[in-house]
Amino acid sequence: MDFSATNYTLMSPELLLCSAALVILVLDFVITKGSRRWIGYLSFITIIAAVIEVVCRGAEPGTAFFGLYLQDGISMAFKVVLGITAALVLLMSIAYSEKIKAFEGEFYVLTLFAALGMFLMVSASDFMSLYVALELTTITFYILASYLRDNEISLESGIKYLILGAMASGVLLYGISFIYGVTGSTSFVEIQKSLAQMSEFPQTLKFGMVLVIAGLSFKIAAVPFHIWAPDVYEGAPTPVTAFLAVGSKVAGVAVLLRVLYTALMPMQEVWIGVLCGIAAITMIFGNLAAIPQKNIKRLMAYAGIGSAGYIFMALAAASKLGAGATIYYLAAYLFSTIGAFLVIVLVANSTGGERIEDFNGLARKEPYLAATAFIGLMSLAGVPPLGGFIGKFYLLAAIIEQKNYLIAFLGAVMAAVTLYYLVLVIKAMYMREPVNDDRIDVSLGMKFALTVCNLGVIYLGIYPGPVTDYAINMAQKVFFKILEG
Amino acid sequence: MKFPLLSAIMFLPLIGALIISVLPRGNRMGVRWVSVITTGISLVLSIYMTIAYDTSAGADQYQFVEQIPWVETLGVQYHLGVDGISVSMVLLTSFVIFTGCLVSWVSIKERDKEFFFFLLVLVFGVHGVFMSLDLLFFYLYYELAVIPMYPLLGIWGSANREYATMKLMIYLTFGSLIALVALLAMYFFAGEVNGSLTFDMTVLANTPYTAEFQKFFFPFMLFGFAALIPMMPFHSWSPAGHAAAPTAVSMLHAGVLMKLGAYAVIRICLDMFPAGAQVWMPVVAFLCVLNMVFGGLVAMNRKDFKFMIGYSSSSHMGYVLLGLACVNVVGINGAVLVMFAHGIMTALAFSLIGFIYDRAHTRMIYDFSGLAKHIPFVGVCFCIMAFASAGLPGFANFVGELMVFIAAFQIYPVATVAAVFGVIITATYMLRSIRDAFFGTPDPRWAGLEDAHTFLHRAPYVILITILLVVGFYPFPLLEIINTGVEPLVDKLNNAAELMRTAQLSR
Repeated sequence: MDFSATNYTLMSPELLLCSAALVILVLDFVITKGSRRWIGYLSFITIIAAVIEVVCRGAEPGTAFFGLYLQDGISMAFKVVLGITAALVLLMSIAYSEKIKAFEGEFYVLTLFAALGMFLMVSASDFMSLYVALELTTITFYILASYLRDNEISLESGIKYLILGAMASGVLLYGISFIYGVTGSTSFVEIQKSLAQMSEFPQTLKFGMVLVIAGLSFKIAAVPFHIWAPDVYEGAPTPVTAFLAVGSKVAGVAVLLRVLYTALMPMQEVWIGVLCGIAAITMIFGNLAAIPQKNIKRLMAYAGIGSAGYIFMALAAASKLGAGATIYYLAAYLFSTIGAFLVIVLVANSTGGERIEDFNGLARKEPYLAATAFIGLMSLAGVPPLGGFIGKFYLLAAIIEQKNYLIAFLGAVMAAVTLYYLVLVIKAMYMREPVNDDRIDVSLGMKFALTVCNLGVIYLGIYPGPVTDYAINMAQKVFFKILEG
Repeated sequence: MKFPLLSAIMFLPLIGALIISVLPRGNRMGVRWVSVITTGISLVLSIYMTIAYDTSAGADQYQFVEQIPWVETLGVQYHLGVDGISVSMVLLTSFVIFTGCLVSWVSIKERDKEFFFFLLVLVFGVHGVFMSLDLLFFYLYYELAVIPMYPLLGIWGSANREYATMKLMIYLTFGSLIALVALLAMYFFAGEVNGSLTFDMTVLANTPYTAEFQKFFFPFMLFGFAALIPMMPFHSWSPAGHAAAPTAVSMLHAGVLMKLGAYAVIRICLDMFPAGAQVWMPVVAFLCVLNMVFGGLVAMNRKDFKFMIGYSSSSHMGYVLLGLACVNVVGINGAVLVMFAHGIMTALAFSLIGFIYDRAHTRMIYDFSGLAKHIPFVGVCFCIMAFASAGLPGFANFVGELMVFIAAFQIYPVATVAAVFGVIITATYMLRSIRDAFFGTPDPRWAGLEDAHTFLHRAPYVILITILLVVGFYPFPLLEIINTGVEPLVDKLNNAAELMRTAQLSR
């Protein structure tokens, strides 16, 4: 067999991640009990190495495995975002490890496998490889979500995610089968070519497209496929929640972007309407349902649903600004959300609770933690000069460029609502009296993670130039060159 | 390379804020000195800028320009520059924040580090709005100027602060986000017309937007920004916010933040959408009567000093709106001068009320009687403030209001008559509050009240009163500066009106 055509060196980051994860899995047997946290740091180093490898490979376009796997500027951007997410989640897991009573080592390794699945998802250029990568991620998450074995809520969350996730995968596969039936191919490029020649799209194709969007919307937690999110977020171990909230969402958006902007680009008139509809109900539902939440993780779940609505709004622009804005927003979303979750883990370690009241008076006890949560949440709310502000600004700009003013006004109104419920948390931290005076000890690794999040959010807010230019130019190069040329 | 004067004025408070954030907790004097010194230098530079500003006929419209590319693909620049209108506003801001820091020196007792931090960040945003010539940065600063209001009100506020904070937040974010949609629509429209996307406001202002486009988006911008003025019926956050805010924040809020709204109306709405302005400004002329008369009548009915001044502020901003609605040289000049004078006057008012409240722990007018006997210095200052507020000749307010009335009488006679009534109403409640609280039989309860004895206590009042009198007696240098900004604007508005008239005739 001729292996040169597989061009497997292209996927060196994934190979590195996969082999290192397997080695660490074996190391876990040899290492003495009690020093399991080194497994965590080893996993952290692995993922950092993979990110460095991704960056070193650059944005040079190329395909491997006969067009199943591709590398370009967009996949690189998403891999950097996902890699940083996984690295920060690993640091968070190390701080959380006291609550994981059994199989601590496997927890880190599973996180690495989930990251591997996400890396493959953003590089998929064919429905088949996409589906395999998606399942690798999802199945890992089934285990991770129910990791606290003697905690009923965690088990419930795992089961919920399993049942609904399996159903979503089925829906996605069913949709893919329709698209394959009409176009005769599973490769994104081939599908695009055959769709471009059609003057009219058959109903079965549209049906398949809707099913594919629905299956991927599950990953992104967009209404009406969001039902699992609040319960799973609440029950899962907090690092897993953070990974679901950021990693799973980013990877889902990346795949949706790839599918819509390459494979289904010729039928954009059809999917723009679907996306606008999902965006509108997601923004309204996510933001309004967040208002009465008492549990901080549920609040973050609904805030995440609201953000998904904004992302759908920008994707519906079907333009390079839409794609670029999405990437920018997700980068800002990563640092803001992970920053908030890091604080949630630390506060829960100290007060034992995850309600908003448990944050009372945090600013008096631990000003730095409070400041991190403040920066993260305000960024999510779209307050300048933080990354989330620029991100939301771009998302709105993308849809306004298409003169879709109605949904833009809806987005603007909902942004004010977002600010309202996130300020409720800020209020608890800054304006209430603390429950107790216990100091929270923050390890060096956590301090590092907190600082990375803060710097990331502030950098993206103050100097958006390089990242914006990169994202928009790459979107132009990857998605719109073919159409223009 | 030239000295970046505008950046220096703008960033000094931010640098102060950053220094404060790293000072150890409990270093009370350090925090105060840093705030006063940074805002002081910023004030000196602002005065220098005002003097150095070139008012000769051939001078550039925007001066002290600084330009650095920021995001190339979207045409964002770090672009600063001031015209006559901005110069007066920057000067006003510097004065108000400097005196505000002096007032807060004594009046803030707890968590002072955070207080001065947020206060200085707020001023950074305000200066940014007045100087920015890039639309993205303009919007960013605009939001940045409003955001610190939440912690400032929420933590250091008095009664009912949580309600007031939420209300303020919802009104203002809502307004600015609605305006944002219109701003972005304008940005892309200009991008299509000019062939390249840019947030440069000097380019955006010279883009010919179609009349339909202007008419459709003008109200979104107008009402979005006017919520901050506050134009009725979007005003109800403002008095509640004033009443809850600590002294320095009230000073900045009424003195400067409200002017941000009016400034945005001038810089964005009038300058970019002149045809829209011709259609929509008469609506403003109607609404501003509500501000002047209704606001005045409500102020008359308030027992709380701060509520009274709060409603009085929205009534005064009615004159600004009336002047802007005239869309002619005299009217807009008058409006900007009222903005300046009212900013100084209302800062004075809130600092005096804050002084009394800090010592007496009440600000109900009926709780006081014969205060002037116990605290004569503050009493005199309060009388001067009341006279200025009522528009007595000799104070800056008089000049501005008179110009507004002269301009408006030819265009909106009914509104002008109502506006003159507004002045009478102002005089009524101001004089009545003086009579009730400061004169009459001295109440022995307040015999122990301490007057403003030290230099630190008196300095803010003296500075503010001096400005009011100097500008009142000799307004011409300031007016000349303002006029250089107003004239190009009015030319544009007249051209748009001319075009619309010919379009109608040809139809």
